[in-house]
Amino acid sequence: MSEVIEKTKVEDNEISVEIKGSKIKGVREKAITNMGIRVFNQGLIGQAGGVGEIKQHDLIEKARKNLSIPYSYVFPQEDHYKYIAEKNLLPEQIVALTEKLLNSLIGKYPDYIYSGKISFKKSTKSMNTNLNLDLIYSDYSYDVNIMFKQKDSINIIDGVALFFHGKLYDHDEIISQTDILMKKFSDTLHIKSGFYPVILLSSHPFKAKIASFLSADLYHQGASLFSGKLGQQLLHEQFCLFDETFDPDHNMVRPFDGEGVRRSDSKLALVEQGMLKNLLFDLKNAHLYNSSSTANGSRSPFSGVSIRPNYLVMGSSKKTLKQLLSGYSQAIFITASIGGEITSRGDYSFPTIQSYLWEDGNIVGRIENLSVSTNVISALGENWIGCSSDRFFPELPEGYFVFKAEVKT
Amino acid sequence: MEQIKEILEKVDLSDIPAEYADLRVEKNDNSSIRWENGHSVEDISIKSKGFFLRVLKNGNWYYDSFTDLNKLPDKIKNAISSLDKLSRGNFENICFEKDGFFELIKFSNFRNVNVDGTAKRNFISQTDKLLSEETYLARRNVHYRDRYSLRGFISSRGRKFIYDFSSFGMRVDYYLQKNQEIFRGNYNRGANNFNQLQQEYRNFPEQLEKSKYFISAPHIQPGVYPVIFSELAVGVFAHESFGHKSEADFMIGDKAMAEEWKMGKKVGSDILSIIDDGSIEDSSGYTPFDDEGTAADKTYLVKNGVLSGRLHSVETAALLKEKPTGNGRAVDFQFQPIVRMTNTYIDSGDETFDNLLDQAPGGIYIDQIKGGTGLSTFSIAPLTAYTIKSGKLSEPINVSVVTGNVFKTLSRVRALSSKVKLYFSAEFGGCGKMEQMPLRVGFGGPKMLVAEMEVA
Repeated sequence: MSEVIEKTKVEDNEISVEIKGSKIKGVREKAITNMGIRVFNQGLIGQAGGVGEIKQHDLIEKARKNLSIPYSYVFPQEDHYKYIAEKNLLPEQIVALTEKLLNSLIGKYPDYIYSGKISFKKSTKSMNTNLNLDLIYSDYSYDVNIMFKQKDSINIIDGVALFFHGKLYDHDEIISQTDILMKKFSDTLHIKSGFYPVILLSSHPFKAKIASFLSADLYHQGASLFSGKLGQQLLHEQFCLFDETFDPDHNMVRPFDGEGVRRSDSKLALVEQGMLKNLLFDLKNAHLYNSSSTANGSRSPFSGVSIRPNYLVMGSSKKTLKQLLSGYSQAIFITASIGGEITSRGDYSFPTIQSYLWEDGNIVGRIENLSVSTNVISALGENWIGCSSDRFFPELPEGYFVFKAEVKT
Repeated sequence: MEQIKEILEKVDLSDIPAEYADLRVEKNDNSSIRWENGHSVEDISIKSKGFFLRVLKNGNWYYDSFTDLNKLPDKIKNAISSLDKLSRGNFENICFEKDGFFELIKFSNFRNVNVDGTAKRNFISQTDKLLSEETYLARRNVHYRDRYSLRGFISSRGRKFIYDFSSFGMRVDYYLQKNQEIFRGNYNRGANNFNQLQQEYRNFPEQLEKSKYFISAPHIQPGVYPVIFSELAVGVFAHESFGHKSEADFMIGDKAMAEEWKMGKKVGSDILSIIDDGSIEDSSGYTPFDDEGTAADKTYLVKNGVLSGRLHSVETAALLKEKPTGNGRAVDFQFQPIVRMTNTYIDSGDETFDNLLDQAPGGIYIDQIKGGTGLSTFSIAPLTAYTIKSGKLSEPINVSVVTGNVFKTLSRVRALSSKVKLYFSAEFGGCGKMEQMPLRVGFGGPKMLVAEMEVA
């Protein structure tokens, strides 16, 4: 085959407003383009990359001189795809949103100091080759991350006041989050250490660990806890996990991967009813293990390919959070935590920053200095309670994650 | 370098209709090579050049990150126009650095390794071979990176500087598997020249050998234990437990914090001193000038257990009526400077490791670590740890997290060994704060005994 030249370009534009000490501190604009070139020739790949005003021709020449990565798979030859979600805003519009949000926060909860950032981001990724591959997608989002601390607190932060990631910015809906995150913060309670239902706003660390077990290379090399167990029931019979490539209503837009591969079905079932159904593949490992790429060959313009999930989503139950916890009189609602690493065996302990006691469907008060100890496999297995049908805000990809764990005060 | 000098000579911000403005210029040459299971999967060199404009008017800041210098006049107009629309802010009376042109080019000889890739590929190959010979190996990944960076700065007050740094790092990840049990290990070291990086890997064969004993090691019974930190763990502890709390931007507009952080307050045991110093050339926190033009300083955060200083940008120094310390840093040209650490370490004590072990019966020794995070509560995730029995290291033990309240832990420091080691954390690792990560920093200290810590 003659030489193939592939160009990957990522253009990021951002307007952000920084909040410090409950006041706007500054406005930032950013416009950065990253470009990566890969040249495929004689079974080898050459790479080069640049940020900013870099000449494409120079990068191609550099990549040609750097043919060093062996490959023996077939990469996408011809495909055309375009998805553009368009919206433009001016800095003063983001400033106005921020001022309104800050005024509402201060009006509602005056005894706190607020800090954080509100931003509007647009990102466009394109990939094309001289073999008629021409792929592009562009998406935008608002991001709100505001932390708070009590005025008499000696902590750097006491908790999360607001967070949002999505396209449909609704001031009233975002500010209503404070009813969960802040309303009972000053009512401190004490509980005994023990085994409690735990509610998390995000199940990310748990999903990410499971997905790493399902990476085709680790699985086949015997480096995964699930190696050799495909098709077996290993997790709770109601637990499902999907890899999603395209669900714009829930801010999941990654229609092609870093190798230009598109999946016919945007949703790939990794775990269904607790049974391991599929592995994640890039092109190299698909070739090596006689399978097909699942569009999980992740790559920035400047990196090699690694197998990574696109967006991981837990299958939601038909039950709301309140219904999931109907058999329990108490639960621990964790809205912010810090640190903790998951060991090779899946053991996971983490201290919380902001946690509340939930009783009969209501948050009744804050609990300080908690730590949670669990194991990822058991949290998604025998200690799994569910993933609720209701969500913290509508654009989140999934509901509340609930499981039983050791809680220490 | 000449290109950056020309830019600094060409740009004039003195007439800008604002209280203050500065422009940062950055040029980087990076390379990255990654091998998975003995095969190259990434081999790339990356060039970048970019600019960061900062303008202060009416007490508010405007920032702009861009890559085309021809757009600077438009960027300045946008900045003034945006700032004129904001109501008055509270950033006033800031004492910006004035005048002077400083040129500190010290690392240009080390960039040769970017040109000749043979040495680095041999280094990767040797490390990969060592791993491949390990009996229980299931998977291996060797990732090498280097960087040569030039940083330039010009302000409306006539301050100019240009300096360089080089950074080299390699991270090895390996999975050992035996009887259905898996241990994921890693070894991550950095240096500011290639030869030194190779030296840092002298101890890797020993760590790899020790790793196999962790495949089937039992998990710790969660509880409170005396804990001895290795030099690496103590560095992360210093950084996470106290370094972040010393960053003065957290204290702005906050009376409770200002009261809590009064100089002269007793915050730790008498033997404890914690230092931040950006002037150390042989380190990954080397920052001869910060991103606001302030020269590096050695700052005692804690001296003999007493609160002695904090880390400042020019802005926080003005607001708290203290001196800037050279800690206004940005990850790169895409971000504004905020208060960050440079090289943060705990000063030495006078004990031997054997003496520390004697004082910690029934305790835990934290050797290698995966990482750490911290605010008022900090946590460190150990990679390898051992029980301590009869004054000796005993059994390998799996620990998920070591955690504690910062001030309680500082007051429980009982003993320190006599030799400080400073670690590089740049090409892999680094520090994260809010959206800005990873910032190259250094950290370290002696071995340290803490009387009681939560271990799980």
